[in-house]
Amino acid sequence: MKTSYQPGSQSFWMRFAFPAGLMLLIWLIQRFVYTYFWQLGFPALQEAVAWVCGLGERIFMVLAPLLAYSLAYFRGARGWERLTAGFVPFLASLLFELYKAAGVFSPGETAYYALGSPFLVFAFLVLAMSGVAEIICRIRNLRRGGQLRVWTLLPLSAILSGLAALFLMMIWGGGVHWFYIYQSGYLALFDF
Amino acid sequence: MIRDKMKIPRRVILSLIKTILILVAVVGPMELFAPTGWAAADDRKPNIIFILTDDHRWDAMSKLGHPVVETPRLDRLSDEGVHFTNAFVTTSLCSPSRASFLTGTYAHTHGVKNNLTPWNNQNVTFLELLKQAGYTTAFIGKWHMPGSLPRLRGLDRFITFTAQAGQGRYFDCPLIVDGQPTPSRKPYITEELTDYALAFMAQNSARAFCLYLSHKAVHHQFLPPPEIRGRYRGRDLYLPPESDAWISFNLNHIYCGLLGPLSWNYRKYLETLHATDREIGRVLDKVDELGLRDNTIVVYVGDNGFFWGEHRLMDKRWAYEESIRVPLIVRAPGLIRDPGRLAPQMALNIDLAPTLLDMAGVAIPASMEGVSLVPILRDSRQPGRRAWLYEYFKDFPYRIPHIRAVRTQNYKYIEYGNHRPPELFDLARDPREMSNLMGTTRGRDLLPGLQAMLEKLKKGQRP
Repeated sequence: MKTSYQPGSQSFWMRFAFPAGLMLLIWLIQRFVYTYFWQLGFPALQEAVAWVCGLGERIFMVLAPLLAYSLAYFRGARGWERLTAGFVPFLASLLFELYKAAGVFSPGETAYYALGSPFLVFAFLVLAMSGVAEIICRIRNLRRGGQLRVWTLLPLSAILSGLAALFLMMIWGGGVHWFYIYQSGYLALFDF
Repeated sequence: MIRDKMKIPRRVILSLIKTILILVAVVGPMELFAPTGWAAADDRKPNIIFILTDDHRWDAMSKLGHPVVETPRLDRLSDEGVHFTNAFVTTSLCSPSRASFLTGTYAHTHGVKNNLTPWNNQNVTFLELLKQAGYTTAFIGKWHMPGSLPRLRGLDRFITFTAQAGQGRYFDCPLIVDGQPTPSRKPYITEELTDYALAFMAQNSARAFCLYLSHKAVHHQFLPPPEIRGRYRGRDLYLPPESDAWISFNLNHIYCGLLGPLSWNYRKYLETLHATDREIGRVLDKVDELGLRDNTIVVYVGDNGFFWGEHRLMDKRWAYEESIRVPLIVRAPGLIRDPGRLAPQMALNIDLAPTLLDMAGVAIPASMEGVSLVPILRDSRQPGRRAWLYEYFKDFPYRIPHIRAVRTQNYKYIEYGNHRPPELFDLARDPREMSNLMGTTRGRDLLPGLQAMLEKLKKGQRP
């Protein structure tokens, strides 16, 4: 019989480092293959690779919490541990983009760059997916005999914030309105 | 005996030579220094219609062999004028390029360096100078420069929009008509602006006018009108081999608003361009209908190019050909003796203001950094410029470094303002700029000359 959630039931490596490392590995493979495959000269496969590793990387970034939570939750990962594990692909991608941005912008601009809608939308979507993953894990835990409340404020707020961010930054005016708000912030803060 | 009779006396030959020499001495300079504008031959100055589109890259025209898009009206214009196949912008970005068209100067001179730095109201535009020369002038369409709307001197009509930070909307875009907020009368922006342009032409057909018609199209979101939507669905687009469907989903490209697959965006772009071509046809037809054809200069040009996956890039800004090269067609019936010519000489956006002034018989201010293209329009043998400076300034949040480059007829050398290594391309052998010659023997041979040219151009000197 499967056991219910017991905090800290497995070692830090098994309950956090393993799920987080696996997320990082999958992201790295997708990023590496997408970045370099086109240079190998297999045009017939290139489109398929673009879908699996190009678009797939973005989709994986958002869906990563579903996988990370299912691996971390029942190994006893604490709240912040499973949340972080789910955020690993996004954080890796963010660091990669910031590294490139730092070659063009000042440190202050680079920090502000991280607040751009592409990053914020993904951050909030990952947060929303973490909320979904948490609820799924709680339902599974309940079925395994765990004693807990499934629908609490925190995961529901995470889901709602993700939807709100998606609307504000991508759907409202096709993302253009938010972009100009972001630009206004830049004009107010920096000497361009 | 007969031979002696047929012999032309030496005296006659000498007087013939003398006459020819006198004619050359007197008439030659007259021709040389004659005003290039039509004003010399006719009391009435030529009308000028300047049509500017957004993001229309140079080869997206059916006449130039594009496999999908249909541009019959632009093709017609090309057949009736001179089509510059090596036309470029000195900064491949909307606001700086637009300011360069208006002022005839580089971005580092007019000050609109990117989409953030505002227009300086002290800048002098060719519209202002034409107004001083007696023209009735109108600016209709996209202004799109940072800051509040400008106080443009010398405009009789100023119709523009401020929606979406000046980008406007394809449908139901509210306008600012001579300072008054005005709702859109027609749903589609390109058609609406064309309607205003046609009305201006009709109202002013009895006097010399200059119409500056600046479209939102074909900028993203690439929205064609309903009747054209889907026209190129299913067509093979022949996208570059290094591209793929999700280039546009690169995080640095998301700011360009290109969220869907590449081919989906590209088809919409081509459909929007086809719609724009239709509206340009309405302008050309109106010129004919008003009987103005022989006395009207029509210029068509794009504000910058656009990448569709080349170099695995989207958008513009970079110094590669797809980004910096634009369509440029000039129809001037009284001036061009060989319509339909494809001119290979390098023409720049900063050349348009001096060219229009020259054609109107107005003195070109010394402050203008471009040169008149009139000699090339008149004579296909004119060599054109040897080299020119490309510049791009940081434009947050687009992650592209400061760029300066020199482009000659056959080579391009690019320097970046960050750790990105410089690039050197042989454009004749490698037109797609895939092989950087830096570090090769050939590159080492070419580099000193190109670097020297770039340094001269940076200092404002001729190379």
